[in-house]
Amino acid sequence: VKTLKYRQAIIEALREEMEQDESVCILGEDVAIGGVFLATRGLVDQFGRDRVRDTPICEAGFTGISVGAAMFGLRPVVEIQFFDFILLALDQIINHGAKMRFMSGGQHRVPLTIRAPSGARMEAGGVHSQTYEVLLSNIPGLHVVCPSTPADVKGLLKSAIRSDDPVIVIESYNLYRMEGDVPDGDHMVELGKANVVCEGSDVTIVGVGSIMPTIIDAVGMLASDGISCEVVDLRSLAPLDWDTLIASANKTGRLVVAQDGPPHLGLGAAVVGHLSGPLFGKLRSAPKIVAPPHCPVPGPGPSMQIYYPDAESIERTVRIALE
Amino acid sequence: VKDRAMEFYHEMARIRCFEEEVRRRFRRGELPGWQILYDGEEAIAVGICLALQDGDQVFGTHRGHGYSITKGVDMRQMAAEFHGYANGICKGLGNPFHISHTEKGITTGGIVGGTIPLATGAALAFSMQGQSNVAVTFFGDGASNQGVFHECLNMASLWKLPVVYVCENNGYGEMTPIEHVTTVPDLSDHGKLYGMPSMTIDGNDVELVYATGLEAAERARGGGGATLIECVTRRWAGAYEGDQQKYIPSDEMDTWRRQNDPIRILGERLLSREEATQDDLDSILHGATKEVHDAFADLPDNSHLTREDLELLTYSHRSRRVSTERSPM
Repeated sequence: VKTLKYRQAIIEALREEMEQDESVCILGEDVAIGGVFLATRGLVDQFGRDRVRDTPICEAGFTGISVGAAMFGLRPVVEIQFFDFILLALDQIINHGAKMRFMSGGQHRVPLTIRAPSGARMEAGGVHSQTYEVLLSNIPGLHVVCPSTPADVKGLLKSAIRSDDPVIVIESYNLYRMEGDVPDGDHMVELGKANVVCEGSDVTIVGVGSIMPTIIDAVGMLASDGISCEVVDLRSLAPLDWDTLIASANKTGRLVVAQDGPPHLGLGAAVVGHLSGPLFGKLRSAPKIVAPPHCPVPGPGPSMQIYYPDAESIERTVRIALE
Repeated sequence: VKDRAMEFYHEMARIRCFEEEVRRRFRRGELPGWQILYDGEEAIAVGICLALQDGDQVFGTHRGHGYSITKGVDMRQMAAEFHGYANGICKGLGNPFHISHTEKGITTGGIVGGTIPLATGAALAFSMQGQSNVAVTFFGDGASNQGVFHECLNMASLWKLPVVYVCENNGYGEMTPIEHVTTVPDLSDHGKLYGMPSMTIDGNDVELVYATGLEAAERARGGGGATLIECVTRRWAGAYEGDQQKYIPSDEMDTWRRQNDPIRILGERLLSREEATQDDLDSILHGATKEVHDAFADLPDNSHLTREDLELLTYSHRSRRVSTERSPM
């Protein structure tokens, strides 16, 4: 075990996979100098500019090129500089990458990884801070993961690169400096497995990605009052580990979903909706969702300060669920 | 040259007969969905595809039957695909205009300009893996206004990728004349801006298309980078089969068909060069007609996927468990 920052864990995953497999290559804006947030720093020195390839600023074009390259022998890892910019590439991702396997009757495969770091909680304004966890999770053919710790980002990124399907890795810039223990060696985290961050008995709090540290803060505040929270970090949204989630909510009897994405038909709505069948009549209180207001992300300043759920709002919601 | 020209004639006849058969069956209500037919443009698919080698990859448009036929995809499997049967090329899932056959090197797509990045990416893969293969993408005049067209031309030129861009300028994007949607006189002008060899040619002269395609493919294979070929043509069937084409002046298509039928042009040339007799040409057409008829005759219709199969085919780790293999025809 060693201690790494989230950003360093990304570099380590990329380096290990590129060392093991010559078909792994990186494409994106500024990746050769390390990317704007340095998540590819140093790789160009080891692997050269062909495999760590700077692209023009044209997300649709270079993402589409990566889909084509993945169909014919490479395992490209695309860096979309901010998750928001993935919107420019959706035709290539959804109409081509995601369904190439299906529409070819299983002939084609698309081993493509798209790293799309979210700027949530970064004070970067309406088009550099958006969190659409569920947008791509609704697309058949895509895997979507949202790692929230250095160990998970390393393990999930390595699994994404080895997958024969397109995987969207939603990283979080607010976590890039977070330190954490990362197991030595070939640390892998399976796609589609949630993590029970801490066990508890009174309530299940569910989250993913950028909001996880805020949930942990809230759990600490509640613990000092003797409230025992079980925290489930989904880690993977497509596929989603319903079994772990259902088992936890079944055990605690209470469910709170906290999210950084918009509320309407969002993560909380999907989770509560899905669990309403298996948990019908088994919860001790109504499920709760903590989310931003349904509006674009405000620019830096007081409006942004009230936009994202904070630890207090999660704590308050848990207390209401416990009443 | 003579044998080559006869092969052109044969391949164009196969496409023409296939499309006419599809039209007949579609109009009789025997085929589900839509059909988007390639007749009138045969010289482009044939001229370009026959200039390629094994391992080269072709990316087609939604008007995609011609490329598949010339690349050697089995017509009977295509017929099964059009019915949506599980023994079709793509298990009935690519129907009607997204045919892929990886062994034959053909992938088509349904979004205008959508396969331009895929071909460019295949070329990047060839280049990075040290393979001498070439990627070719066909697209219509309408695609030249898409952003990805320009993005990819830029990157292909920048990275000297082994790719050939073939623009089938058939005069209309959907139902709007190309001159109503751009001020660029020749669509090959776009390539010049990105510094690649670019030319506008008669897309109904199969020998010219072949020669141009061969030069472009060999340039790409030799490390000389990308080429943009604009082939001027017309689509006879309109935007889709059943399109009344009321947006086209009534005499325009009649004149075009009379003067620019690629099969007739080559036939007359073969006769005047005394490389074929009328009997030879008739015999080729007759053979193609029979091949197409046999392809559609008595298709078994007993192979269907289940809902579970559909989900299994969506992801690779599930696909390994899928039970439905391509059954013999």
